Amino acid sequence: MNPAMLQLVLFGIEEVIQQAPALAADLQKIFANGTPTAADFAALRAKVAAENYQQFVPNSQLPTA
Amino acid sequence: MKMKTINPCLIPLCGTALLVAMAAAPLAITGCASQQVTTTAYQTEATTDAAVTTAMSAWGAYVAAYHPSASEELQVQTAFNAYKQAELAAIDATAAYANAAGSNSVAQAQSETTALNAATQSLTDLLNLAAEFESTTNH
Repeated sequence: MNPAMLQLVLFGIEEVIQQAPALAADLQKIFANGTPTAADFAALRAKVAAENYQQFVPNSQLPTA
Repeated sequence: MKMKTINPCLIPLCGTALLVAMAAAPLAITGCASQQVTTTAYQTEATTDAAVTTAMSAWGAYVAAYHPSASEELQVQTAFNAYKQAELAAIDATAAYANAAGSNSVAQAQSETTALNAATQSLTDLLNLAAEFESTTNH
């Protein structure tokens, strides 16, 4: 395995380790919620509607919309 | 000579969440009680969003570290926007179903399943696309 590929693999593993606890916490919250209410749907919709590419990729080369 | 390999930072992280989402989606048309359908659909949609959030955060870290081309970023951005629209449609369909109090429930459940499947497919496309943009090495 060449050094660049090894660096990428190690980077990926590090990202997985860092993101896993937050994802696990989110999933636990989702499945412990019981029957969703209208407020739950509204909150989920608002969250998704507010998401944009630049929020996740602050170092993006793409122009801001 | 260029060599591409799979980006490990996305597949294991989101694969489990995607499987959960895809397993839950078909329940929407089995004729279960409306409350169970609503709960399952909500959990599917929320899980999908959690998976995408995680995948996009990892993609953001990858962009910061390895600086993929603008054209590659544009493809991921396009896929993300497609997922977002499909997810919003799925949430709206589920909320409408939950508010319908059983009237025409079969047709609405099918409509909801269609929207959920579209959101799940968009997520799959997004993950496959992001996994395709790996490091390339020039020899």
